Amino acid sequence: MDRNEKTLIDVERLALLARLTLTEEEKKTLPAEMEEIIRFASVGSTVGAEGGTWTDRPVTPKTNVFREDVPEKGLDRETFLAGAPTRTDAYITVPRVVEEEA
Amino acid sequence: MNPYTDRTLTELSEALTKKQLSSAELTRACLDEIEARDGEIGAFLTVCKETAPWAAAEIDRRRLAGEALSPLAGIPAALKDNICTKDVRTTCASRMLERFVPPYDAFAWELLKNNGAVLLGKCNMDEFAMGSSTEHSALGTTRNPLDLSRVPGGSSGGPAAAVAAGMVPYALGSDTGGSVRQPAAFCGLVGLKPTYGCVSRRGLVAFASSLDQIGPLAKTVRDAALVMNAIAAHDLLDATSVGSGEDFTREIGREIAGVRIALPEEAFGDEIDPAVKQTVFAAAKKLEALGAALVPVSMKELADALPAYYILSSAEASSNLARYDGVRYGYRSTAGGDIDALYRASRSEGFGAEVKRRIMLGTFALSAGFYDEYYEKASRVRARVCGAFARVLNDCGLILTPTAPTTAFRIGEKQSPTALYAGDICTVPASIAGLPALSVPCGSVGGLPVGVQLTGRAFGEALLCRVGTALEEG
Repeated sequence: MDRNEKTLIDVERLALLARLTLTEEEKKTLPAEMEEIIRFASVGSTVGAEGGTWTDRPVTPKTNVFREDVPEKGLDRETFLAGAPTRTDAYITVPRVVEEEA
Repeated sequence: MNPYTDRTLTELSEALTKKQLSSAELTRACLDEIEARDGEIGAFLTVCKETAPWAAAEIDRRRLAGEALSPLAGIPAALKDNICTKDVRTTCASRMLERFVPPYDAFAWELLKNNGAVLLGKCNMDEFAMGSSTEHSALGTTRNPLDLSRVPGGSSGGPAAAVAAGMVPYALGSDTGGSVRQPAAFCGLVGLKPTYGCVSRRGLVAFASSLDQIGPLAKTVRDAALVMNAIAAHDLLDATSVGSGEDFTREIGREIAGVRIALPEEAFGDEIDPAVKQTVFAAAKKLEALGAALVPVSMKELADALPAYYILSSAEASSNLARYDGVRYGYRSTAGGDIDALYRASRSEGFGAEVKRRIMLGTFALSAGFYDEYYEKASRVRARVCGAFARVLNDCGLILTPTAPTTAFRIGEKQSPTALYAGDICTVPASIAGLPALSVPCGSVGGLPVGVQLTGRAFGEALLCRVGTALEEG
């Protein structure tokens, strides 16, 4: 299982993909921890890449069901905005995402 | 001492119906019990001290007015803190949602409420349901009421401890890989993971959407079945909801003679503590004495279920938990910087170590270059496990195994993440196959309870309840 070799688990890259910032402590401990976890989660050699469907999900009905296309009243804007960490009037405020023109 | 501590939901329901007891009295007794005992147990994160008596009085008023009420009416209920409750904070035992107050009720709770259930409080859990001991809660430790030095199991450890301590007659937990069944086993309770799709997931904070199911923790199989009668309904707003509409108690009391019960040799391997194994075998023998046929089977496909579960559930979690970005709700870091820095700081400060590990594992399993080897392979294992269950359950009505490889372990005993993961070996197969599984107490080892797990056909809960009750009585 050469895929489980240390060199292939780039913890800092995974953190970047997962939008996490690692502390100095985590940078030290996580590589070994993640290696152990990935080794644990590696499926044995009994299962190859043989054919057959693997995208099926158990139990869930295999036919799609649509509800009637009738408008319904959902929850109002104020209810949802009440949970926002910061807001200005009807808007959630976040750091600027577009640059000002020079 | 609470005079109702040992009473089952069924008994309490009868006493309420006969007006020997009022919901106000019962609710007060439960609140007093929490006051007296929860300091040392730590099952609750939120106690509805003010609203519960009010809700109870309302049910009493309706009962006195002669209204026909559900068997659950006026009985206090506790919910795991990942089940959304309108106007009552729902934390997932995470810093991320510590102050989150949902704008709506989970469908399962809405149904219980319509049945007259009284919300007593919200219970501790492993953060975002990731864990098997409730030690990964960011908001406190929960102790096993049967031995305070031990874990109550997890991730629904709070709900299990609350019921086992007699603070509430029943609770709802959620089960992704065993999170209702294993704490039930550790606390000497009955726990049911329903068939996938049986109970709506709307308003259950998502961990792994193809696996998550809400299920009851109760003192008896009948109690759990009564709760299922209320919560197993079709929900238009959950695309995977099937509902049930059955009476889950309907087979209880019927003989079990002739029922064919499979015992997979792989489920009784070296991972299982010998004394636990012996206790579970004794339960099987008891069923045999009642006329059931024990059928030894082999399910070699189970060998890869545990690693596959960790890949699938973590992959889904990494995607589901991407929504926590500090923008619309939940924790926002005050560290400053641009929008990307806000996302990263909010997530890094808001999530605990185990949640981060699972997100990283899921991100790894889905990342370019590793997807085929991990996610796809795990999905193939899933299909094979489903096939193995189909093969065995074609001939047998149910499968009997231990619920957990050991009894409740000591707080802090399992140090590495993988040591904890290994404890899920008995419960994850039914999860990845979407099948119903019931844990029933079947004896004890060293004074700690042991659970036997009965896994059935899709929507075959009624048979599980029938055989489970036979075990309780036998």
